Amino acid sequence: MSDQTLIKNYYTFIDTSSLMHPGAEEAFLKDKVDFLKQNKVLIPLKVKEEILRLIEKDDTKRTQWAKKALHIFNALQASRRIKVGEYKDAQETFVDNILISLFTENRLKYNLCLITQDKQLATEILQLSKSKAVKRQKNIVVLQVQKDGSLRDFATLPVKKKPGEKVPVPKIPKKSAEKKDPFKKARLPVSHKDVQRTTVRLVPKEGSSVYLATRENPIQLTKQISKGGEGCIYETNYSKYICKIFHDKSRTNMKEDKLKLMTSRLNKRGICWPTSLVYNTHAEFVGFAMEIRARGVELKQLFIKPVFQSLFPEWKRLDLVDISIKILHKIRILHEQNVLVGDINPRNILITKARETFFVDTDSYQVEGYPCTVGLANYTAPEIQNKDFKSFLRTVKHENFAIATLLFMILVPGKTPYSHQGGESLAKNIKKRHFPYPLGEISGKNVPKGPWRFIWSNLSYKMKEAFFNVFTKGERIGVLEWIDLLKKYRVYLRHNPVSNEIYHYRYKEVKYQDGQPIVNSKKK
Amino acid sequence: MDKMKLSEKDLFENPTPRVPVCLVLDTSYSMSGPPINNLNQGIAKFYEAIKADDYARYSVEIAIVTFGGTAQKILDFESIDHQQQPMLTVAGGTPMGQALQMATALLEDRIKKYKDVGVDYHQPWLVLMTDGRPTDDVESVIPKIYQMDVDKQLMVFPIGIGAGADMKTLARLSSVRQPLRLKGLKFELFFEWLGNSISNVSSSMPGEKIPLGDEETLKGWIYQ
Repeated sequence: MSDQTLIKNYYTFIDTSSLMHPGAEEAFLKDKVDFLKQNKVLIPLKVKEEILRLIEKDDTKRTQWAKKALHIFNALQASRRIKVGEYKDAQETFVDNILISLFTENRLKYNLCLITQDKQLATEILQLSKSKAVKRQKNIVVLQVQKDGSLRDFATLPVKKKPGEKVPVPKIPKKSAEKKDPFKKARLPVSHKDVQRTTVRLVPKEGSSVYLATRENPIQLTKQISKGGEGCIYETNYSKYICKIFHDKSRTNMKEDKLKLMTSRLNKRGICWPTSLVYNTHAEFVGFAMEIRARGVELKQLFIKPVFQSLFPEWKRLDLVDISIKILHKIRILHEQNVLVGDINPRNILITKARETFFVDTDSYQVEGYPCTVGLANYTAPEIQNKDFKSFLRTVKHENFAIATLLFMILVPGKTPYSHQGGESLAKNIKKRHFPYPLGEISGKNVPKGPWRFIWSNLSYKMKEAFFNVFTKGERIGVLEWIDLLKKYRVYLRHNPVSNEIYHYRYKEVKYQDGQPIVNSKKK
Repeated sequence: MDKMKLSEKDLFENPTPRVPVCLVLDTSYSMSGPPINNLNQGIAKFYEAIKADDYARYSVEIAIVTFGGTAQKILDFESIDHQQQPMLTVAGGTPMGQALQMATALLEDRIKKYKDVGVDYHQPWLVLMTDGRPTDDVESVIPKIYQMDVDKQLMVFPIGIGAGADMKTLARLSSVRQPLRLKGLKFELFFEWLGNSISNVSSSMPGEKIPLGDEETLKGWIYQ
């Protein structure tokens, strides 16, 4: 294969999926073309853990392949042809994530190659090589194991056409749910008068069998992943599903109705949406299932400088902008479906090193007449402060206030917009609507001490103007407009490397030379 | 960098809303022996619980005032990363009034500091623990604290230790929270509960309703 001979002196990583491929033995153990000798081959230790997990699960076919994969892994390790690395993220359970962060970090230093069967992962890795934010890149190649043990370049796979031949369109099975109309717009909330807790004979726990609305056969709750105020989340014997089982006090008829509605449509990557109700062995409603498993750390970790810096030491402002845009795209998808997040909360958004975002706790979102009954004071628009969230439906305008606050707190990391010298409690500050930061000729008043004035100063004028208008004039900026603003800010940051730092200790200085503004920082 | 500057830097650079907690602790002679040892272990547990939680660690600030013989400021407010836990020893009578005066002054100073700098903060906490009855005048300070508690400017947790604790005086400090009596010398369980409760506060935003720590742990350390 030409592909194999071309790839020399690459750091090559092998993913679990390729070790489990029928062609794996041929590809990795019989090395016809000395592939393994020409490259430094590395496998994250987590791959082995993932294989072992699959073997334990004992679910038919995959177990067999997992056993073969383990054999190949051990043989490679014994022959010292591969290096097994522990790589930083000891806590990161997903091989995907580890690979993405390894590639993100090393793409400037080395030529990198990934062998995987996972299309999604391949696309994300290839995307890294296209990233315009980075000027000088080494090469990134993604290969796929074929049945005969040869390796094919992922990038060329779909374009395998001869003149005159039709390009095969990859068939992506469309979920019928996604074709449906969006949720209806409701004007009044459903009444909470008739809400009743529902009693069940059995609350499933680890080891219990439960039924999904969409499956005839039971699935099993295998391991509790987390415990929250409302319920517990479990892994199941099908890696596709995770289940949330409600505590007795949080299981109501209204929850059931709302979830029935929610599961009827919408299931997008990164939005951990309920896809089926879950019933116990007595056919009683006990919770719901999700098909997307979130990973990463709470967005709120960005708000604590030392924690942020230890989690994402290499991040710059461009990464914050990237994360913000990704969050906004998810909110846009929800809004298109007439769903409001309602409780915009930095603990319910998870982020990864590879700058993925996941929305969790989505069952609280506002859908049709079901309000989101919770909310944090400082993301709550002034006009609905201290109102009972059960008693009304939020509007896009309310949501847009929360979005502006979240963006401010990402870009001025951790600082709330209304925090100022001589301030009072947060809720009081919001009602008072004193936004302390300056804009152009308009000077600031009572800006908090510390780096905040400098961080603000280094934002682009357009970003400052947007925040200023929201927090002083009460304007509301929609999701699409924010996306546009952030994309422009991204361009601005690429031209102003000093401003691309996250924390600042100097004001931004604007000089003019030949009629062009030159931007850099000066000491205060 | 000297300590003063370090503390100031932290105040300026850490945007996390703060929760100031003032521990007002009885170290009169009657606390000698196992009680003071258990109290010290309990405080260690408190620090441990807070440091284990990222949000609490950068949010909670602790001051300690003791009353044994005289009222003493043992520790002033600061980021807990810069603090070293003091080992408390016993001496003399029970000047609770003086200690409470000192505690309210410390809290007021700290809040003023937050306002001057422009740092968000939660309602401060005052935790009072005693095994006896005050040996000085408490009349001038109790009504003030009670009023602050009513106005939600302060959360007061009055805790009695053993049979000799003057629960009647403790009951006059808060309109909302009944004084609780520690079961035996379960300081560690108490501080564990307090640590969890404070974690709930620090992970919330100011102005939210806060669930206090786990009820099960609560049952473990109080007489009901």
